[in-house]
Amino acid sequence: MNKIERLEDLENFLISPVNIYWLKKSGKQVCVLPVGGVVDLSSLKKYPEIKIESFFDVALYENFLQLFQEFNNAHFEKERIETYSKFISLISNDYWYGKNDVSLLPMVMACVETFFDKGNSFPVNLKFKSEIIFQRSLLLGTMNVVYSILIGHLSYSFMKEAFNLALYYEHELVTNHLNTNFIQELEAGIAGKYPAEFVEKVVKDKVIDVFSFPFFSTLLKKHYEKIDGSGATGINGDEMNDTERLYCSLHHSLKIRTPSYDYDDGRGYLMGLVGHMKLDKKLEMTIYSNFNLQTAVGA
Amino acid sequence: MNEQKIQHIHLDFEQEAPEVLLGLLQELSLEIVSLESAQVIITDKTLDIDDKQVLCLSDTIQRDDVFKKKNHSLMSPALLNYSMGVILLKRYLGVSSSLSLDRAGIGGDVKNFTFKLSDSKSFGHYTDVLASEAIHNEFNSFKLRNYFFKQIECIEILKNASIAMYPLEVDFMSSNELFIIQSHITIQNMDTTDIRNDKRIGTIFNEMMNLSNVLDVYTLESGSKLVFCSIWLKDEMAPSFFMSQFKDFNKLEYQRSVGTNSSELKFVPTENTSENVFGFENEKISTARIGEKVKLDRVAEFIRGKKSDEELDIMRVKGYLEEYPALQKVKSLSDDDLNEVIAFVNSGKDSMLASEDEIQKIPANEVLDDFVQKIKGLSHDEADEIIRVRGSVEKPDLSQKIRAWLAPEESDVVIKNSADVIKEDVWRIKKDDIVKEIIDKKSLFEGKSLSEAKEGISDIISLNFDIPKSESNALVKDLLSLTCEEYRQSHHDERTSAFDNSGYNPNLLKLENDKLKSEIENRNKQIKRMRNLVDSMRRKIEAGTIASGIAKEIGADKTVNQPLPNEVRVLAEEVKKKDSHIESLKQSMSQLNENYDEKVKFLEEQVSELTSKLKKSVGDGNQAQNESSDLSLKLKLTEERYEVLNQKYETVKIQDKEYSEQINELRNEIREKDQNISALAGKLEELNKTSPQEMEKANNEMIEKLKASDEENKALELKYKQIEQKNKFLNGKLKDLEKKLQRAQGGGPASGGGQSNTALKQMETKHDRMKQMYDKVNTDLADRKKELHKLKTESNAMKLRITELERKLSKYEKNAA
Repeated sequence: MNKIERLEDLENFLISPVNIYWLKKSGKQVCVLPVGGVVDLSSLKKYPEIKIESFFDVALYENFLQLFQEFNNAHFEKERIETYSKFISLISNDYWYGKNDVSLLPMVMACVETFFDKGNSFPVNLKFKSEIIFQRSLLLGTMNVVYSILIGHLSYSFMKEAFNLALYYEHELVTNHLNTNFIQELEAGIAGKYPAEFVEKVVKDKVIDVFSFPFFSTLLKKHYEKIDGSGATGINGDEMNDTERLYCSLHHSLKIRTPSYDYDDGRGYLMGLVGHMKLDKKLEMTIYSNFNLQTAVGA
Repeated sequence: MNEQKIQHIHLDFEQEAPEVLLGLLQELSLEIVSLESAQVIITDKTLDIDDKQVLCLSDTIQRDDVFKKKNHSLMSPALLNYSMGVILLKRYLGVSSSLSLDRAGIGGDVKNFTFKLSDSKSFGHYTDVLASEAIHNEFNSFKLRNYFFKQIECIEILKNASIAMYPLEVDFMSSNELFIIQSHITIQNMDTTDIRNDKRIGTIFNEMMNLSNVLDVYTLESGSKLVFCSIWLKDEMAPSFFMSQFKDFNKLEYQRSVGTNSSELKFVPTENTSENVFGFENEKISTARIGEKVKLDRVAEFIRGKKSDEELDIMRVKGYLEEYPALQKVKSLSDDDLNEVIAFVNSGKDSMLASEDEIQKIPANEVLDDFVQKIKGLSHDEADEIIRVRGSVEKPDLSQKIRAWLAPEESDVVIKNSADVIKEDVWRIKKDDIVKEIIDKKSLFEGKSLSEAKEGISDIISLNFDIPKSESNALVKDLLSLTCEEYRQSHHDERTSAFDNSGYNPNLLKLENDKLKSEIENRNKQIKRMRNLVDSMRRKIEAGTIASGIAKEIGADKTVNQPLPNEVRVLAEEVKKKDSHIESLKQSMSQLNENYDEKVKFLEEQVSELTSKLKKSVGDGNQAQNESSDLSLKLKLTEERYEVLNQKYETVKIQDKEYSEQINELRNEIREKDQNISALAGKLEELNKTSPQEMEKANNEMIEKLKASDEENKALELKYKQIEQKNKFLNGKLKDLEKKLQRAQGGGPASGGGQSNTALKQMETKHDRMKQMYDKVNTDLADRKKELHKLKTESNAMKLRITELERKLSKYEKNAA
């Protein structure tokens, strides 16, 4: 990635890796595009003078990109497993054990760059509908990818679908023009508040044929569920497989708010999120043991 | 939330049913019923039934015969001896289970592994993993390999028919006894009967059954899953297979295994429930909770009526409650409430509420107003419920009458003013009549106890509703106990003895339980925090000791105050380790040395002894010769030992040298690091010193520049003003000339016209030139103004920077200090 010095350098980015300030005549600086914000060059060009501030870890970003490419290029499971252990060693120290300051941004940017389906109009519509939800979906998609790898999904195409899945969660927002309150209530498990047929309709509407894995279409319906059985239709963790449990818990653990990427927000983030997700013992142990093995090998 | 379903089992055995099975059925409290009402039939032969689940428990029946029949499964009786077999049977009978092996109860001290297949491409790799694991545990890897291949083949067929959807999740567990593979995949529109019906899949399944000892296949409708669970055993056993479909799993409460189990905290022993112990005297129980208590009391009475000799559990109680008159009300009861009811019924007490003796003590006129309110608020449903539960009457008169009042057009019962009043209002009017009568007769109850007044009230009710005395008695008893309970609670402070007498007070226990729970949570949090603190303290102390140790070792005094970098710390630790290792080596060396000297002495002594003996025994003949040969052998051996010891000594010496070299290297490294640190510290100091001066210099330069530009600007402004004045002057002149020209033209255009024309032209050209000059100066001025603005903004930015730098400087100074 080239160094970003001018606005034009941001042309190919969906979210910004830098802070952009408008330099006012009075000498004051106003942040017009924060790190992680959705890039809209036409509005940025209106400002006569701007300043670009960057703390983006380019090397880490490129490492992630390379590993995702390796997953893509791998023909045999053995190669994928090798890449997987490289991936674990890349994230282990900082994102898991929190030994050094690290930002989530390089990870998210690499996932967006690798997996985001630019050819599809739906995400673009979502972007215009709600920037906050769009940004949150990108973060959730990234987490989907990372934890999928951690529980053993090593296929590149699976990762790609896992990332884009998060963008389609809020499908009703764009297509049915439902409000966010409804969705939040539905997700909070107040299924009884709405007639069962209505909930059924919302869930049924989510048949979207964009996934090469039909499994993801079923996940779109199931992501309202909670593993304690208090979700929309009351399926509980015992009736879900690892992947479903993981995605549902992830979805309920990441609240709808703008991710404010900071220089140290990724420090120990992955381990913390596992705690938040309240997964079952087996799945939690699978994730934990990956990192423990890694440290054992490292030692 | 818990929806435990009772499966009704029918047993049809030609011979005796296995004891293990009977024990299991008893343990699960499954009802054994007749063939017609059964959901599952367990037998030892094949049956011609296809609308019920049939489990053939036999090792003589041919597997193919069972597989052909719809809803039939086969189980070898020997499998019941394995815990795994019992778990499979429990699941087959509909006991709570899980897709997760550990939550389903399978596991323990076994090796397990999970993998996910996103497609069929990489299954070969994992087949190898499974096979190698099987070889390691001495199972037939060939069978296992083939089984997994068949399973993938089956899934591929289902996938191509758009039924199954990858990923396939596979869990395997292995121990010395058994080897389990459980795989599940998401499906749509399929159940296990399709497996029997489809010829292609049917044959694959047959092969899969041939390749494994036990095969359990089921579909789970709620989670849209198809699950294969297969087991290999080392012991020989007749084949078993289960095929079933579940709508959903009976729900276990999905909680993490970490943390406290709430059910363990549920019941506090009744002996300890003295209010002085827990200090709950001031806890007021709301009327809502009393209402809840009355409801529980009714449920308890209902259960007591239904109860047989068997022991009560939640599942059984729920079954009983299906027949409860007000089903909607009991549906909202939680498991905690039901546990309370069970504990109460088991305790053998009569009532959760006030006893007869207590009612006797309460004066009637004090609670009569409350009682009247109770009657006013009584709904006909509740009255119906009370009479059915309390009076043990299946179809009470009252409920029939109520039904008649609610539908007056269909009834032949005559009701006053029934033409004007419809449905609910009839009930209200009846109640109002009763209330009126009680209030009228209030004076009669004065001075009497409540139990005496009860009779009178019951008479009034039975007369008004036109119902038998038994029903009105039940109604009055329930409502009075409710009012008495409230009265008792309101007089709680004065009458704490009532609490002591009751002995068991579930409300208080519940409150106390909640409080304890929250306390436990708080304590847990505190412990966590304390642990973190202790850990951090420990780390600090460790770091401090390491740092001081290194400082002493190196003799450097400057680095002690500064926190050491990680690398140095690691190196120091390594040095320590090596040192300890060397010390141990030295010790062993010295021991060796001692031993060496001793051994040499000992050997020398032995040699001398032997030689003396040899000398003595020269003339002793053959015996002496033999002895000498033995001794020489011994000598040789000791010499060899001596050599070995020598070699060891040398190797240890070499090692020692190596270690000392390593230590030296490490020490050098530490020194280098130390130098680096000091250099960095020096740089930092330099920065502290130099940076502010440089900044000031730059700042001064900038200010000078700004001043110069200001002066330039002023000069330009002056010039501009001069030019403007000149321009004005010239303009004035121009106007004068124009006037003169006009005058000249007006006076005599012929005379002097040529002169004025030339002058005018000259003036015009001059004017043009002046205008150009004016424009030039104007543009120049605008440029200068822009420059000035830029410089001003720059100066502002610089000022900001200076203030920032000053702040930084002050920080540095503080740090330096």
